[in-house]
Amino acid sequence: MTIFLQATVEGLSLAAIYSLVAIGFVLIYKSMDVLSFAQPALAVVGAGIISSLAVDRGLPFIPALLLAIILTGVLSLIIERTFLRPMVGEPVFSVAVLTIGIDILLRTFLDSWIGINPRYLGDPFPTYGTLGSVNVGGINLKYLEIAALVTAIVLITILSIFFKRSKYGVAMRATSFDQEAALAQGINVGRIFGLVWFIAGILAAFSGFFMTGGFNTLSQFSFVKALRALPAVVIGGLDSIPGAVVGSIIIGLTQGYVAYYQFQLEGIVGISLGNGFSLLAPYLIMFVILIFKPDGLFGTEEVERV
Amino acid sequence: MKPLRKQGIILFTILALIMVACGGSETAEETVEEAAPEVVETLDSPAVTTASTVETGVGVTSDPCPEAVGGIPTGADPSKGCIYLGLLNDYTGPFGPLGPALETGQRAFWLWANQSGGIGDYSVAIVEGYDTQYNPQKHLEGYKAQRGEVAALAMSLGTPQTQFILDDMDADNMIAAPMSWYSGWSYKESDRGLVVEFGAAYCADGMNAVDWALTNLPVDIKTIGIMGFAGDYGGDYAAGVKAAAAANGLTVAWEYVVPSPEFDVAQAVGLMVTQPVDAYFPAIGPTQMAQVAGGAFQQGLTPIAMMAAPSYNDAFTAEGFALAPLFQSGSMYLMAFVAPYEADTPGHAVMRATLTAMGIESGNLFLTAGWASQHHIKGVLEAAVKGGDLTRAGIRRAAANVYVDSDGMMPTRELGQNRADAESFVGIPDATATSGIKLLSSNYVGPSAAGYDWEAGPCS
Repeated sequence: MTIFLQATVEGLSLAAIYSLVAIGFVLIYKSMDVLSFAQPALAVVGAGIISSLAVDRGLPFIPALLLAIILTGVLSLIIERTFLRPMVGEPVFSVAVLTIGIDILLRTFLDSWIGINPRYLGDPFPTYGTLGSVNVGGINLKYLEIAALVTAIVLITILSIFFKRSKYGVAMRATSFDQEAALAQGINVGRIFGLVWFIAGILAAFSGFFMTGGFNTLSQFSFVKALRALPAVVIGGLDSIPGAVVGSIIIGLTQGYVAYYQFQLEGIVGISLGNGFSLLAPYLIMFVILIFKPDGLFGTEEVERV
Repeated sequence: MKPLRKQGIILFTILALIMVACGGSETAEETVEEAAPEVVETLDSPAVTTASTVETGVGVTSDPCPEAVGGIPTGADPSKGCIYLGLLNDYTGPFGPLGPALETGQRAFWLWANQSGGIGDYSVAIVEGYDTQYNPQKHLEGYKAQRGEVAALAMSLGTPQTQFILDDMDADNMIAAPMSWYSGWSYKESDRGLVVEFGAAYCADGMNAVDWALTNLPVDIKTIGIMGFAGDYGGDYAAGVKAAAAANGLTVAWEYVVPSPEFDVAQAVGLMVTQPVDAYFPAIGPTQMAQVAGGAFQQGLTPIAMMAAPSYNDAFTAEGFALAPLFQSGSMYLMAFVAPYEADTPGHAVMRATLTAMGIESGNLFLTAGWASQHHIKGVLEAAVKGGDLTRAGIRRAAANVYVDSDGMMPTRELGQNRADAESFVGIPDATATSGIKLLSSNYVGPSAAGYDWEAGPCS
């Protein structure tokens, strides 16, 4: 039972990180019909800015964290203004490939800065308890992972209130529903696009921190972890924020349980699934779900005239 | 209702899978099947004869070497000719930050060698390095750009990258010092006698890591785990560990060896939690190493870790790094491919003196590796001059039949003998050492490596 709870806690922590990347992706898709593959790169760029401010420049960690998150949001906004805005109305494929180019561009600059030595972010989490963890009833709880869970819940709650209550939130919903109608109603659609990318950048920076904080460190391979959020988006449905959260939970828990139980089960059953199965399993679940729900669990069902 | 959603899902799924599949993989397939001319070794090999005149070929000139290349003096004698060596380095790829250190070590070596008499009537100069970005295709481009002007390669960085250009090297009779420790470099079936290896192979390090831990650590090791990057050094290291485990009757509780982009830290830690071991043998990257060691410690697990050299990074002992005390706690050890900067050998002393005279105070392990890598190239070139054949074919023949020495930095080695070196260096992370590594054992050969049939071929 302890192992099960440990795997559950770790799976939920991964889910929290994935959900931050996934929500940013969904926000952009809902508002602009853009499949943005730049989110993983924005996540690690955010982590890089935190490290640069907190470790290289010696800023206290909390101001460095907040400043880096805002800077990542601004960077995301600039990307929208310079690269994406001219592509409005262009084919989905062209824009998606453009975002892959942005992803490569960002990571090239970041990798050049990171170098071969892993960089740490200067956060205080590893100094708490046992290298940043506490044992509760035989279950190891990591402060960084708890912070990720709490942050994800708080941010999702704030976003929900923002979409329902604020002027810009309502404008974003209107824009995502019908851009032309929103424009006709006097909504500055361009400004909404920028705001969406700004928020997505902020979410990515948070996820970047939780991926690389503590002794996880930032390296040239850190973005791979953010890439693992992508099946969560498909499982949940490309245009559903609750779907992104549920998809992330499914992916995170799958990864957690496979990590702890795969080899035990293989020993019992006598069948080997392979060493890389924990990362493959989320994609298998994605394929199964897409067979029965082609629009994802929470995606809006598309009706086409034949 | 939004249009194109299903198309979007399909497109997203395909592109996401491509990105995940391509994320960080560095392996390459070799597909060229050209027939290559064979250099036949005979008793007239230059290594065993002495000629009065020297035949020369591509990359060897009667004009003197330039005074400096890459901002570093060559130390060349203006009255002598010049042997040019190529350099396939990584300046902007994943090993970009190491590239300059490796190159500095290599140029410093030839500065010293040229000032100490050079190679017969020749000095040696390494041409400007080509940035391969640790990319096999770029590696090939770099090779093609340099092959018309060099007699040999001072360095070919990376195992898959070097394998990618092996056909061309074969056709050109071009030898190279590798900057990787794949056991196949010691066997003609793998390197066609072109790669002038130095230092212990990862496989031998794996065997010696097991034996050294069993002999020297006050821990009763019965059960072990192995984790590594497949397709690169992880497979070779794991092969060595498994061979030694079998020889010592140890139980391998788990073996988690996957390509680097597929390495799941959660699963690695999960294995350590669900199937605890007395010791584990990681051949992974530094980031994963920190996460695995830290994750295990958080769960109250501190098994002995015998790291392959690429798993370690001197940032682990840096002030302010949360895991620095753990890495220096006495439970973490590493297998170094060459004795670190502070080692007490004549070769290390000359290296330290040369680097200090150049104003370089760093003890970085890769400076040392760069320097050490050139000793065997020097031995091969000396043999070629001695045999009167400094053409590339002559240099290749020399590399197939010569003893090379490194002033004690590494054991004397007979090149072309078709067996891997098995002498390892064992160290422990130590912030007080200039290199960040305190040497515990030099030229260590455990019973497993000593009893292994090294003539059977590469371990992996």
